[in-house]
Amino acid sequence: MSEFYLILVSREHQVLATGIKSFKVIFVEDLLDYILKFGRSNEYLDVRLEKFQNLVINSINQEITKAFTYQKKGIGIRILADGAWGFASSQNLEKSAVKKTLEIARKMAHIEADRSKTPIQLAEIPVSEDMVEVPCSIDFREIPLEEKINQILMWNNQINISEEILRTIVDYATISATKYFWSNEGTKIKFIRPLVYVNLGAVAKGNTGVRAYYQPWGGTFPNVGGTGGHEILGQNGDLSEICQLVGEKAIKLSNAKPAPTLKDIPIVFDPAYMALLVHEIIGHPSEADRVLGWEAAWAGSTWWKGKSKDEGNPTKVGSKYVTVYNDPTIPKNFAYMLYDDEGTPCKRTTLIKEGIVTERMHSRETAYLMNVEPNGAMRANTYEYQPLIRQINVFWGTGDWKVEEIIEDTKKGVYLLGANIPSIDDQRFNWAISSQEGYLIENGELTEHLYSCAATATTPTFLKSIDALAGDDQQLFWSSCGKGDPMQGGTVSNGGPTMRGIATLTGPRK
Amino acid sequence: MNEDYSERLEYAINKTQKYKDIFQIEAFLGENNLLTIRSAMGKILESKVIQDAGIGIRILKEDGGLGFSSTCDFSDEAIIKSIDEALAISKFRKVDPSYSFAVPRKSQRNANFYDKQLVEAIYEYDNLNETINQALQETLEFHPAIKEVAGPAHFVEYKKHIINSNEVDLSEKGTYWNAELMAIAETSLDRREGSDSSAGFAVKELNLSQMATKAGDMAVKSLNGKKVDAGTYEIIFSPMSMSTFLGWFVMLTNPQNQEKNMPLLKDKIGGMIASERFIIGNDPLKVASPVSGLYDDEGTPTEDIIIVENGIFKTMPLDTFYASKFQTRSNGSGYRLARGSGMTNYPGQLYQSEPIPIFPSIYMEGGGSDVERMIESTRKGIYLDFLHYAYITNGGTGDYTGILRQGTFLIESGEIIYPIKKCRLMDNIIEMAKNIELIGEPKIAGHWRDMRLVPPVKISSVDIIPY
Repeated sequence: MSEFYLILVSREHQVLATGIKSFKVIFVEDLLDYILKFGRSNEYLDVRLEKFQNLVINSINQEITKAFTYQKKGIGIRILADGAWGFASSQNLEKSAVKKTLEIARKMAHIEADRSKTPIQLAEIPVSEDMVEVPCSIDFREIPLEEKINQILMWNNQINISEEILRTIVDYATISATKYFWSNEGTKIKFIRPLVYVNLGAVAKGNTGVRAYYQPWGGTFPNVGGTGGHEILGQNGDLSEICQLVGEKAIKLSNAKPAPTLKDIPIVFDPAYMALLVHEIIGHPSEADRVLGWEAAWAGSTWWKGKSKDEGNPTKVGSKYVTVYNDPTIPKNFAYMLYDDEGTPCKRTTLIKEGIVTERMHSRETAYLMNVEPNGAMRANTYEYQPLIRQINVFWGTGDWKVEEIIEDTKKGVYLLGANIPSIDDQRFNWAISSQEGYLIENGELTEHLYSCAATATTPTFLKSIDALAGDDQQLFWSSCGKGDPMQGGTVSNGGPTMRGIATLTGPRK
Repeated sequence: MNEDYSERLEYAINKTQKYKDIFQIEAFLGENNLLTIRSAMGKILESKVIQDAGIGIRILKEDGGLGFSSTCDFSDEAIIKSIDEALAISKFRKVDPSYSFAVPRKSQRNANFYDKQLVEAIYEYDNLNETINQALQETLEFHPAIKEVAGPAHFVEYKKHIINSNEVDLSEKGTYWNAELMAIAETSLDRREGSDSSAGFAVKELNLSQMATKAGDMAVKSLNGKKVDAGTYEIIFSPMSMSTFLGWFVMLTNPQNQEKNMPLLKDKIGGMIASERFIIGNDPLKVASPVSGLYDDEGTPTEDIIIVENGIFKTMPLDTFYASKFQTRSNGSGYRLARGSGMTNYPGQLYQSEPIPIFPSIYMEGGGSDVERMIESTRKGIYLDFLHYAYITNGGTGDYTGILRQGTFLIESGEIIYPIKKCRLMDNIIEMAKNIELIGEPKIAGHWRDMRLVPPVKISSVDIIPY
């Protein structure tokens, strides 16, 4: 057992860790300097020092079923030595432990370098010195726990609108994260990021069965999660209207009819469904590591390899209504950031423009390989993990239709609302995504309410079939995503407007 | 794991005893040292190490208040802060008055999950690195059509120590490895994959050559696949694809999932939910996992639990919390495997999470058949080695879908006719379990941390949609 602990204090006097037996004060900046000075002149070295304070509260009906906090802090050190990567992380911030962590990372790099035939090279980025603090007008850290619990129980109560509701579900979480990114190229970034999110659900019993209206991994509604304080939630923390809607939808769903199977029909997707759709069929296959085959073993690669402007071959794969962006810099989005975990400034990237594949999401390494500028898409879930390329805030651009016009223009089709569960092939060529609910569209009007709906299609055919896109209801939703070995969970934001395309609807199986 | 943090657990227990109204206290220490070597494009892309340790503190008050908090900072102040936060939470979260943390119960079983050689190999790195590099080369040299090979390998040393005021005081340590290899064969007309995976706790069990051969052979045999017609097929699941199926099936038995988005099997204990041939269970001693041990993460002895017996739903996973809800006792299935909430789970023990009920070591009983006999008995069917991105898309109905990604062959009149292209399975997971017709002998198979002891299985009726 160590005989002393450290008090780590930033220049702004933020306490990261404290000790009591015997201790000494070290400035965070001094610790980062201490690590970087061990970088050799022919090495690239970067360090992420992070601290988290998280609160998670789960509730069912009027009962708090789970509630806990956790504090976490530590350091991740990445080194590019002799053209190969090494990475190691540790929660122990004593200088001796940090130095040992660096040595492990360096050893890894040297072992790889001995075998590597092609040295890794990095595209250049500007040296940045910045402090980014997300504004928080209703700071959840200052709201007493009792007040939060009362609010959660009230949301449960607001969902419980009638006796048909069997269970109400409210999950609530906040994350306070402080991250330092320093590299031996001179970049020094500090990022203070508060996050809040809520999951609302209900289980109801009706004439056609027991149905859950609950999305396990993301928001079916906008304004229930994002980067910032409680002002993110509804109208300054007021979720009463959304809660009531969740209750109503669950009851309605428990009286709905099973979806039929209808092959190759026009399907209108609402913005919440679009969030998952764009995440799966555009976001992931636009990640340059996937394009290059680095994710082939488990997640897979991509069907449109070699078809982008970045690869020198901009190719039309969809209709004029297919324009998709990645933009981490939009305030309040759930994965908001101005610099990625390589210190690259983030920017809006156009992945597809009017059906033509343009840019990929890049690391410095993949940008060098494709001879383009890095666009700030490298992220690690925490200091423990090596950063990897992942979508951040991918969303569909807007069109020139109104939502009512799209419905009215559909003679026979289906309207799917709220995303549920995805299943996608390894090339992102074929997809199936279930919705929370659906409606038949007959002669431009919504008729039968449907449960257990899923749409399935092949991506190239589907993208070409898109013939209507709303311009008046684009929304962003919070969600989470997993990628990498070991698996890294991560916050993402996705969205879009209402859209229509051709896919096959499937209903409950047997 | 050079540090000894056990004194910190005692500090937490002693400190808490000075607070008023505390009925019980539990402190859990989790430590991990994880080495990952990740390969793609025929070479090792990256090697990385995660070293992690921390304490989770759970408090039960006399009025039934339950609170939990965790920290990776072992200082006195950080531990006191965690105690205070757990106490604050306990004011608002009430459990049944009969609820109690684990009481001392000695496991009647013996097992060892710790391999010193694997620990040494993790710290040494280069031997494991070289072993994997050789396997990559072997796979590439298996056949001229093999153009790429990829796959992750994880090696973890884990340790847990649990102390509670009921006088539970136990520590366990273990090691675990998991490796996957995927070969990609390519001709001018086609590109197909084949893969294999394995896991264990001892380094001597690591046989990457065998995996290289299977992955390479599957990739080459799968070349030049034809599109299959839409329809209902008899499907022969390999142990690897059956492992995926079984993982999803067992999720429906979880009481936590049943309360939320998977209500299908809620209150169905005693009901017929599968073929009478279907017998599945959970036993950490039969199936190594990164949390295997004689005790779960609350200190309750693990057992060999029958989940489904002859098609009848017998048992759900129970930690102390869910056991008290059902007025029964924990069956040793409380694990700290957090999911969601901004946390990531990697192989090993997680101090950040309160225990939740999970079956981490699932097995399925064999049935005496084999793949050859299954093929011979098939009139119109498909052999499936790898089910990709499978999900229960509706936890209320059991709708189930996934991609038939690799090792897919059409069977007609008792013979394999030709490889087929990828296609989609769209069916109902309960109906599929009811239609189990033949069962082979089990082997360890699966992906990543979800390895299971599973036989090949023939299911008589499954809907397939080509694309």
